[in-house]
Amino acid sequence: MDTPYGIFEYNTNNFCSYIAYQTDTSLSDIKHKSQITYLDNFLTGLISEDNKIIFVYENEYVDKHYLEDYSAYYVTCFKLYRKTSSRVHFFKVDSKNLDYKVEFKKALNGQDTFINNNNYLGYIVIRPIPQTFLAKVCLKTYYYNNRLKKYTITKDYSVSLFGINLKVESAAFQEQDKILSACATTSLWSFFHAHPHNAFSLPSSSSITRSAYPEENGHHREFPNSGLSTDMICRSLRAYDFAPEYFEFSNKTYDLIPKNDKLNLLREYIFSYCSSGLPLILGVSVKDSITKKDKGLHAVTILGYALKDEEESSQLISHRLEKLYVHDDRFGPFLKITFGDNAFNVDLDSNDSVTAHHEFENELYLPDTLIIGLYHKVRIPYDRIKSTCLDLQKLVSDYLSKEKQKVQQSEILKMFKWDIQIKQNKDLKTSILNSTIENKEAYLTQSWPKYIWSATALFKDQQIFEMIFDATDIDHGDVFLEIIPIDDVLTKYIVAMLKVYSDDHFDNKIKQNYSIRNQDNYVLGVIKYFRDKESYISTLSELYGYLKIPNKIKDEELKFDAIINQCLIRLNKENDYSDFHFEIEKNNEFQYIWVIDKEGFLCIGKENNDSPKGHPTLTDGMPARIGGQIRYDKEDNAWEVDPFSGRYSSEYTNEEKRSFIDNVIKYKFNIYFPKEKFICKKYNDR
Amino acid sequence: MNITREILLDSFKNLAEDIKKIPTNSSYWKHEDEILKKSMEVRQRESLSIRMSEQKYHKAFSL
Repeated sequence: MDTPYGIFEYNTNNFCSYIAYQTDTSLSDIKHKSQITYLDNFLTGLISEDNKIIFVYENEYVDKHYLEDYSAYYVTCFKLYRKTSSRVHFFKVDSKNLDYKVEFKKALNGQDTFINNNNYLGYIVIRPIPQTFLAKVCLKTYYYNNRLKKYTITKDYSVSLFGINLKVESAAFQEQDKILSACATTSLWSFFHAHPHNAFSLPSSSSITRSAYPEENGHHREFPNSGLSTDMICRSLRAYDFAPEYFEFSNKTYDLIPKNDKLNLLREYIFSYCSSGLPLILGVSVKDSITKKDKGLHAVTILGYALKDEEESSQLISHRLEKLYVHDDRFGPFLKITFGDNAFNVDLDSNDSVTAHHEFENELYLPDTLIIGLYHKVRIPYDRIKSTCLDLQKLVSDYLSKEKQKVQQSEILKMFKWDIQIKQNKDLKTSILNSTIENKEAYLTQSWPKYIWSATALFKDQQIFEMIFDATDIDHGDVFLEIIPIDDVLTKYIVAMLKVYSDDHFDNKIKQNYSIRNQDNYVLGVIKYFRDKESYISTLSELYGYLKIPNKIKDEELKFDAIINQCLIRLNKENDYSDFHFEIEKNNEFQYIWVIDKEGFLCIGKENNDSPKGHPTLTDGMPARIGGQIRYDKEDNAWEVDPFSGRYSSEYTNEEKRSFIDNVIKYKFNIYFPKEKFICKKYNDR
Repeated sequence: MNITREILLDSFKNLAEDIKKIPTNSSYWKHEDEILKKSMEVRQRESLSIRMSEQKYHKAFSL
């Protein structure tokens, strides 16, 4: 090729012809590839009938991963292979009579044309090797991203086409080259691309395959690669800083649970991780439904799902999972596979312009293995959170119907459904910030771990509240963190009911020596949370205000950089104040000042009017709750106490000041000085 | 039954005060223990049924 680029209207023949030229593969072989049929269907599905697809190819494109694979293998082949790839970009256009070549030249001249983000459908990188040439496919998806309907994991890929900046939202797909990668390696490659927590730069196929082999390699040779087993996939995940978990979902002769329940378990695991943007690796056994022949084990990457409409019978939203969107290197990106009785049906459309998918028409994917790669600090497993929610729901609904004769409420409670997913702290707080709940600050300012299990209770698809659990805690910890309202009023009523249940449970059940902690749930952690009595500190804050540093310390309040101490008395013991008497000053020489300090003690001092030094001199400049002045009021023959310390009280509303000063007089001044009379005149006539 | 939000609010509004007044039978807690034991058995069966066999662990995905 002697030109750096070309621009053509897309049809399968000219697209395949370009690939044939670049990869030294016959046109017929290319047109018979299942991936080409799939991609043709996918691309044409992205546009409406009035639109056309234009493709622009770059003949020389340096693809980092192909370059690594080239240096790992192809460079040492006797036959000379190119080290550069080529890249094809796709755009949709609605104008039929445009001269695309002229338009593209205008775009390269900086003018506005159809070459822009709105029309960009994505790109495909072509390896210059025969037969297995799809090095990277990043095509726009056409599914809506709604967690409770249809969802696909995508991220933004930035593209520079000869300096024209473009962007596509996708998850990269790759075809196995059958040398450096088999299906397991490509599923890992897509997994690493789509995972939001990848701490490493994205690895190439050759690096992934190498990382899967132990140092003392007792396996077959690495390259050409003949596939990876679960232990090898897990080794590779560990090499890239993920903690692997794996489960087997194949049917066993003597299974402990019915087939349907097992499929539901698979749904639960997929939904709880995938709906949080975490990809998974699914191992399937491929079977021909007509000949019943097993074709072998195959690995795909789960990157999305579709839920069916509400199903009354199940308490878990995940059981509505109907379809999965997987990157399957035998076909292409976001392949739809549908849950059948005990296998997935592979949804392939035939396409006469390329080739029918007839070889694969009768294939079924039998679920075999599910591999999850998590950030290593996510330690609490999904099943514990599920047990906690379902057990708590059962316990409380039985408690209401059997002991409290509240059958209607018990039945309503049984109808609540759970949407369980793992969340990052920052995402949870953003959703709280964007919500309409009343007291956002109370939740936003709490310290929570980076990873959180979230269980949202829904009633007829309306979210009521969210229970959150520390995903990083130790297995036998309490784990439960908080209940966050979504419907404020209803949550308030449910929380009040749960408090009664928890008090009853704790005061009666535990005292009767029943087993208090189940091995597989955190119900006791929830009960402990709801029965937590108010702490002394929270009571102090409620009575006298919250702790704060003084909002100013004056220079004259310091001597040799230390705060002058004017505190005459800190009322922490009865004996401490026995000699203390308020003096009635006659010459306007001083006034008394007071604060309630961090520990809730009343501190009193004198402030001389000729050299005023304020409230920080009672506390050594440390945080306190509220403060003010005390003056003798002749008229009432009483001590007038006010809450107007500029240093410690200025942030309170009038309502708060009124409440706190009432408490200070009632629980401090009147108790410690019973012979004196204390008033707060400003609020006497309220 | 079409349960609206209003019905929900109405049902749960005074529930806490109402149930507080009714004493719980001391024998009830045994029933709770049985619920938890049954639930634990179900979860153990589920967990065992998806535990991967040694043979499967080393089988390659190669299609």
